[in-house]
This record gives sequence, C-alpha cells and structure tokens, in this order.
Amino acid sequence: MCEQLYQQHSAAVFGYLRKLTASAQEAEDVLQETFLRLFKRAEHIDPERNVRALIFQIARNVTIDRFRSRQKSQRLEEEVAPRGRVQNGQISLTESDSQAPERVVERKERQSLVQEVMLELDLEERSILLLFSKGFNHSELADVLCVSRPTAKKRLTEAMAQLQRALAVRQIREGGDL
Amino acid sequence: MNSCEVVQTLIPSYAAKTLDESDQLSVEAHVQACPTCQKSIESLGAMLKLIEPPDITPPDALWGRLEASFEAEGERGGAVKTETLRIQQISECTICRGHLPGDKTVYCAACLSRYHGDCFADHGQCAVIGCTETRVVRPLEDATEVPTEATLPPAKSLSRGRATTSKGTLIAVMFALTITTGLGVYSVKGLNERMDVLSRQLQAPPAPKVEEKKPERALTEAERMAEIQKLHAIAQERKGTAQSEAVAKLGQYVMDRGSVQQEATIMLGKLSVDTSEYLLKGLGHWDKSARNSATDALVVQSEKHPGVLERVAEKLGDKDPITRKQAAITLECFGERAQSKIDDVLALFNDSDRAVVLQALDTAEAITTKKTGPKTFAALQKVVKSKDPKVRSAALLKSTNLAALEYISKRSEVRELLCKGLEDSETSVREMSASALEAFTQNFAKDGEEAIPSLLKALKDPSKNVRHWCVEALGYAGQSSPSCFMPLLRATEDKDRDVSRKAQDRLLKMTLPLEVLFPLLLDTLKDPNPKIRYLIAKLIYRYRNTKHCQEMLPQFMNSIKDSDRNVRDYILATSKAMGPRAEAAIPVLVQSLRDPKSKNTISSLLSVLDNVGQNSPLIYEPLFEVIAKQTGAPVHSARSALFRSKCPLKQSLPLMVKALKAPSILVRQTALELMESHRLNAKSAVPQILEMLKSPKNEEISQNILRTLTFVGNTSPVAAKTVLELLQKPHDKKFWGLVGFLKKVKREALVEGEKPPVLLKTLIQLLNDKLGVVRSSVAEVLALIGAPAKGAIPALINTLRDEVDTVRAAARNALVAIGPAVLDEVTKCFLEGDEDLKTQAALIFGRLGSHSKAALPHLKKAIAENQLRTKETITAVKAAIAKIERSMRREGK
Repeated sequence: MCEQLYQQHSAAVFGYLRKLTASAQEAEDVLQETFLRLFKRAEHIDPERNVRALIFQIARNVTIDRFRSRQKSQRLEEEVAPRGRVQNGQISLTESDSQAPERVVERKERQSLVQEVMLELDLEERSILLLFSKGFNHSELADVLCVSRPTAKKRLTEAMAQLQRALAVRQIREGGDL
Repeated sequence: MNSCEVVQTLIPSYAAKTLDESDQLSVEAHVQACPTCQKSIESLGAMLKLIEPPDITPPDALWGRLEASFEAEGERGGAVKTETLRIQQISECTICRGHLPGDKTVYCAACLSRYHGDCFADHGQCAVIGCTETRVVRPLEDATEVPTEATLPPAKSLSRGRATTSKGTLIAVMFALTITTGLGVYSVKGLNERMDVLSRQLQAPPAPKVEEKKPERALTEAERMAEIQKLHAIAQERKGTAQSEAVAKLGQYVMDRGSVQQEATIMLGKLSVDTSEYLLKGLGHWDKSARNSATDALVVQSEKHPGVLERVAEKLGDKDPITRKQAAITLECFGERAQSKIDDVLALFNDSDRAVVLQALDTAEAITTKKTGPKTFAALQKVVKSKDPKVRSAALLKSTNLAALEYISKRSEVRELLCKGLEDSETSVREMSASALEAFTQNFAKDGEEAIPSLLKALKDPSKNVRHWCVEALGYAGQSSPSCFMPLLRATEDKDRDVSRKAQDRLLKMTLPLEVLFPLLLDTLKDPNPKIRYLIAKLIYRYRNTKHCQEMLPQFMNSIKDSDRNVRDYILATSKAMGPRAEAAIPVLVQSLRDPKSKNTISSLLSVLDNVGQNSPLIYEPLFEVIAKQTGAPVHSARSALFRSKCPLKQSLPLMVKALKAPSILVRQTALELMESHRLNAKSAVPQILEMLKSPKNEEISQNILRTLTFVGNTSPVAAKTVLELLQKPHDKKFWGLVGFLKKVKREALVEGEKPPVLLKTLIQLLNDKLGVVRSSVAEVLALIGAPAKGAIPALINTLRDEVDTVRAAARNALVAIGPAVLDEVTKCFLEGDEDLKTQAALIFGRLGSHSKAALPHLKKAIAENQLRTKETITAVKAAIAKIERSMRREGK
C-alpha cells in the first residue's frame, strides 16, 4: 500500500514542493519526511478521507516546520534559484540549443517574473496558490490547511489579493506585461 | 468608488472562485466593457498558469532511501529514526550552513542549535532569533563513567538566575549518557525535554511554608492553589485588616514557583487595592517567567494606581541587576505612560551590567516621545562610544528606530553615526550599522544619499553581511545616482552569491536617466566578465522600447558576436523586439550572417533580420546568399523573410532582377516566386525573364518562369511575341505555361491602337493548332484584340465548324468582338451553311443586336418557310430575331 501511495502521488507532491521550496534538495528532503510521516499513520488513515489532500497537508506542514525551525526567513530567498540548472540567474544552455533568442529570453524573463512575484508572497500564501493552481477545490484546500471551508476560501482570496498586488507593483515598476 | 475600483477589489475573489453568483455576473459584465479590468484578470490567470506546479518524478534513489528508513524504524519500533533523520538533515552550522564534523560541533547552551566553534565565537551569541545565549556546550566525548545522580552538582549549589549554566552542564551530562550507553543518536527535542525535567527538579527552591501551624509538611501545589483562591476571595470581599492580611499572605506566593506563583501574581494584579508592594518583589524572582508575570500584574495595577509607576522606577536603582533589568522591562511595557521616567532610564545606560544597559536601550526606545526624542538621542550618542560592541550595536539600532519614528529632528546626525559605525573594528557593529543604514535609506532615501560614499567604501568589507546590507542600502539611496552604477556592477562579482544576486537585483531596479545609463551600458558591455556582460545585455533588453536604445543599438550590435550565448541572445532579442526601428543594426547583422564563424547562430540571425529588415532592401542580397549556400532550415527562413519583406518594389525589383542571373537555380526560382507573389507588372524585368526562358539550363523551372512572366510581362509585346512563337514549336513541358500566359495577356501587349496587329498572322496560324486548348485560347486572344483583328474573320468563320464546343464558342466570341465587319461573312454562313453553322450564325446575329438588322429578313424567312430542321437552330434563330428587334426598338429604329 505504501509503495502504491508513493507511486501515485510522489510526482505531484514533488512538483509542488519544488515550487514551494524553490530547491530540489529541500524538496527531496521534505518529500522523504512527508512519506515517512504518512507511512507511520498508514494504518490509521480513514479510507474515506481524501488521501491526496492528506499527503499535501503533511508536505505543507513539514515544509513550514522546517522553514520555521531555521528561523531565518531570508534563507528561503537565498535558495530561490533552484540549484543545478539555474545558477546565478543564468540558465545553462548548450550551443546546440537551437531555440530562437527571443524565445530563450522570453522564457528567462518569465521565469524571473515568477520568481520575483513569488518572493513577494510568504510561504503560506505561496502554498495555497500553488495548490489552487494545481486544481485543488475549496474543500480540498480546507482539508490541506486543516481549516473550515469558509476559512480556506478567505485565505485563498487573501493570497490571491497579495498576488494581484505583487503583479501590480511589478507592472508599475517596469511597465511589463505577462 | 467607481465601478472599476469596486471590480478591482473583487478580482482576487473572482479568480479564487469565491464570489457569489450575482457578484460574479457583475464582474463579468464589467470586464466585457473595461479593458483595464480585463487585463488584470488575464494577468492573474496567466500568473496562476505560470506557477502551476508540474508533476516531477522524484529521483529513483529516494524510494530506496524511504524504504530503508521505514524498515529501520519498524525494527526500532518508534520514532527514533525519524528524529535521527532530522538530526542528520540539520547537521550544518546554524551560522555558515557549512558541514559540521562531530568533533568540532558546539551547541548553544540554551537552545542546543549547532555551530562551528569559530562561527559561534565570531558571532558572539546564538544566531537563532529569540535566543541571546552567549555560552556553548560540548558533548563529553571521553566520558567513561556513567554519571549518576550522586555525581550531579547538589541542587543548592546552583545559584539563582543561572539556569542556563546548569542547563549546559546537564546537556553535557546527557550527551555523556547517550554516548556511553550506546543508544544511538537522540533527538534534540527529546534531549531538551529530559534536560528540562532534570533542570526543574534540581533548581526549584522548596515551596514557601505559608501554613505556620504545620511546619513539618510543605503544602502540595493543589493545596497552595486552593489557598490562593481562598485568600483572593477574602481580599476581594472583606475590608480593613482582614483584607490586608489576605493580601499579605497572597503576596508571599509571589516568590513561589510555577503555576502557583503565576496564579497568585495574577490575582494580586486584579485586586482593586494597591498590591504593588508585593508584586515589586516578584521583579527579582529567580524564574524569568515569574518575573514576567509580576511585570504583567504591575502593568494592570498601574492603570488603577498611578503611584505604581514611581515605585517601579525606584526599582531601577535596585542593587540586584536582575531586578533593575526587570524594572526596565516593566517600564517598557508601560510604554509612553512612563515617559516621565526617561531620565531614570537614560541613567541606566551607564549601568555596570550589560544586560541592564541593553534592556535600558529597549525601554528608552519604547518610552521616548517626540518631545523627549532629542534627549534620548543625545544619550544614545554617548552609548555608541561604549566599549561593548553589543551595546554599540543596540544604540545604533535604537537611533535608527527613533529617526524612523521621526523623533529625531536631525536625521543627518543619525546617518553620520551609522556611517561611522561602518568603520567600526567589530564586525557585529559594522553589520548592525549596515543593516540600520538599509532601514534608514529605505525610509529617507534623500537623506541617505549622503551616505553613499561610506556605503560604497563598505562594499569592500570582509563581512558578507555588511556587503549585503550595503548593497541593499545603495539600492534605496543610490537608485538614481550614476555614481552607484559601477560599484553595484562590481558587487555583482562578489564572491558571496547572495551579495552578488542582491547587487544584480538592485542594478536592474535602478532608475538612472537613460542618457546617463546608456553610455554606461555601452562601456560595460565590453567587460571581460561574461556575467557582467550578460547583466548589461539584460538591462539593454529591458529598455528595448526606448529611443535611446534605438539610437545606440548599432553600437550594441557588436555583441552579437559575444562568446557568451546569453549575451548574444539578449542583444539579438532586443533588436528583434525593436523590429524595423532597429534598421541601423542591419549592416552588423548582415556582416555576422556572412561570417563563417556564426554558423551556429545563423537561424537566430535570420529570424532577427526577418523582423528588423522587413522594410529594407539591404536584406535581399545576404538572404539570396544564404539560399545559395545553405540547406534546410536556414534556406526556409531566408525565403520566408524575403516573402514577408515590405520593402518598396522600386528598391527591391532591381535586386530581384539581379538574382535572376544568379548561378543558384534556387535563388533564381526564389526571385521569380517573389515577383509572382508581388503580382509584379514590370516591363524592365521582362528581357531577363525571356532570356531565362530561352536558356536550356532553366528547363527545370520553365513553369515558374512562365508563371512569373504571366504577371510581370502580360503587357509586354515582346513577351507576347515570344510566347506565340514558342507555341508554334512542337509542344513540350512549357506548353501549359504558354497557354496560361495567353489567358492573362493584356490587349496592349497584342495591338497598338486600331492598327492591324503584327502578330495576326501567327494567331491565324495557331487557330489551326492540333490542340483545342490552343485554338480556343487564340480565339480568345483575337476577341481581346477586337476590330483590328478583322483580317482573321475567314479563319474564325472556319473555326465555327471546329469539332470542340469551347473552340467554336471562343471563335463566336471573337467574331462578335470584331463587330459588324463580320456580318457579310456570317450572313453567307447562314444562307449556305449547314444546320450547325446556321445556329452559330444566328447566335452571332443575336449578340450583334441592331447591327444585324440586314440579316433579319433572312432569319424570318427561314422560320416562315420552315427551312430549319433542328429544334436548336429554330430556337437560336427565334432568339436572334427577338434580340435584334428588341435592340432596334431600344435604339428607336
């Protein structure tokens, strides 16, 4: 059952964690701890419960615990550039990459926009927006956040407003478009 | 609020799908008519799409690790493994995040965070926010004996207020226990819990014996709690002596411990009588939380009894430093209510105990008002000269905070203090100064400008934190200062990644006047460091829509040969985004395109030329060269660029004509197709095309040539003559092209005015061609010529007998076009010809209308005398009669 759960959900959770933590290494660590916690509770999981929401709930909690334990919110900023492919803001491309320059540039600009805007949000807001963009409905969000449905809706709206503000600030500053 | 403002506030809810139906409908209705709100919603939607996390398969090894961990945990039967993992994951120094070898690890004596010994010593205290411990402990690695309770220090020997020291000792003991008993790695959390239990047992003083009658037995906690409740009830309900006694007894519990002390303190605080006498004692309690509860209760009391403030202030002069410090904390809690005591607090700045001074600084900040601000600042200016770096740092911070609150009128003095702090010998002070300057410049960017020289100097500080904050501060103060550009640019080369990234970020956000910025960009685009060049290229791209960028682009364009691909990409993308405005860059682009070294970037260059050179004739030659020399995708791109070109034909035609002589058949073909695509009618190109048509080497593309000639030369007599001559020769693969030309040829190519056409003889000959399509096309050409082609009447009459319907129809049309001159011949046909010829003649009579009135009697006679045999002929003749009569009536004849 454990392996089945892992096969079924690990890719989605890993993708979510990569965006949430902005670090492949951190995402791996959190994923490992998430499934360890899940397996420990495996026997007590209510079969009628939404397992996907439960896994994302654990993953989110583990991430928040880890970042809180570091006590340095700045740390997150430091690690925003995913290690490996993107280093020092540069995407390592080989000469054989035949993409047109404007496509490469557009992709880079978009990437830096996403990073800039996401940095304006705190971990909680980022988490809820990632889940919503992944297709979680309000009830599932409530499950993941361990709150009532109206509260989940309220938090989502607040996060969305924050995202709107971040976008507006960016547009005012640079006159840029998405 | 207007409707736009309302909708803007609803957009987040709309995007989150949390609006009710009516609001949702009203948003949608508004958005239909408002492009601004529509854009907002689209931006938000696009952003959500961009952040959507994709599914990413985790590394295969992870499942293996997970399985092993889970199995191991099963064997140990508990959560030990999980905690072990946690410890392994955080086995890094809290300050530098570097790896921690076991033998070099030290632990904070208060919170057990891990450090390198050196890092902790440099930092001076625990780096965890909220923990200010300055001592460390180490595991007893060589412990060979298992310590027992007997070996632990006796409880009474632990001095009051030194909890952390005993904690530290205990940690060491616990580590010794751990290692010697071989239990493996303990969790930090577990260790802390055990340590706390032992610590409490060892340190807690015995409960005070309030019940004098039973001295032999101390009261239990529950009993003491019940007593407190009882005493509180008495103190509340009674008056006079009974009340005083109850309060006094309750007051004794202020020095108790744990929840009993808490409860008693809270009760005392709530009482309406003044209980501060007892609560003040609590300020010197050995337990910090007990002291804090006394402070809380005193705050409550001070609201009812103004004298409490005075009494607390008196405690600032207490002998016990802990009491002095707690009194300062209490005044801090009073806030501005304690402003009258500012002098007493400022006096504490000279206290011998460092903790008291630090607290006094906090208190002073909290109780200072706009009125007392200058006085506090004057005191702070003295404290800044303290020998203790921690005190110096705190004083700098407080000065900055007071300036931010605008309690200090001379902000320049604060700035000078901070700038001076940047030169302090202590790293921690410099770091605090830099951080404070960042806050200062954020609040007062203009005042901060004066700090720029000091900040620039501090960019060379050995501490990365100083450099980091200086970069931030420069970002605010020097956002529009040209002098900051180069230093920030150099800071992007900082060995520390954070400093470098922050400098990059700040550079990209600078708002220098473009006339200043662009020369700087031009200079730095030649920097030897590719990362710098990349950053500059990014900046140029950011300003791609400006006039300055347009003007300086040709100079930037040399960078399309940059060795760094990122630089090349950004410069190319800039020119491409500028489109035809970047025309000045074409020569460099072309030069690069011709450079054999730019083989890898040829596709990029072509795509840029496509955009940039769409109005320019300069791209034709290089693109034809690409078509001649390359194969595959580049050829396709070059051709597309040529076909999309909007260059005026006047400029491009000579280039196309020139290309018709190119050795490459593909180039010649492309030139022909270009002419064809422009539906170009240009006699100047005809000789060249005709020459190509005659050349055997162009046999392969003869169809293309003729198709182009159809557009380019359909008004040219030479072209028409050549085509007709070729048609007289045995038909080959050019045949359809020739016929196509005949179908599109214009009259002016065939005849000059009303003179008989030169080509008439050829045309008459071609009316006898063996192929019907040629005969009909020629008849159509004759129809086009009209009256001047009357020399062809006999031949056309003859063609009326052609076996092919379309040829007969074309001949009929030609005869009609020639006009009344054909009537004699046609009448003769009608009278002498067979039934079919009669029909053809009748149709011609009908078409010629009143011109055929001379033939009317013949037609009527044929009908009247039943000379006609077939139904078709009869119908045709009747129709001709009707048409002629109608035409005559219309003309009044």
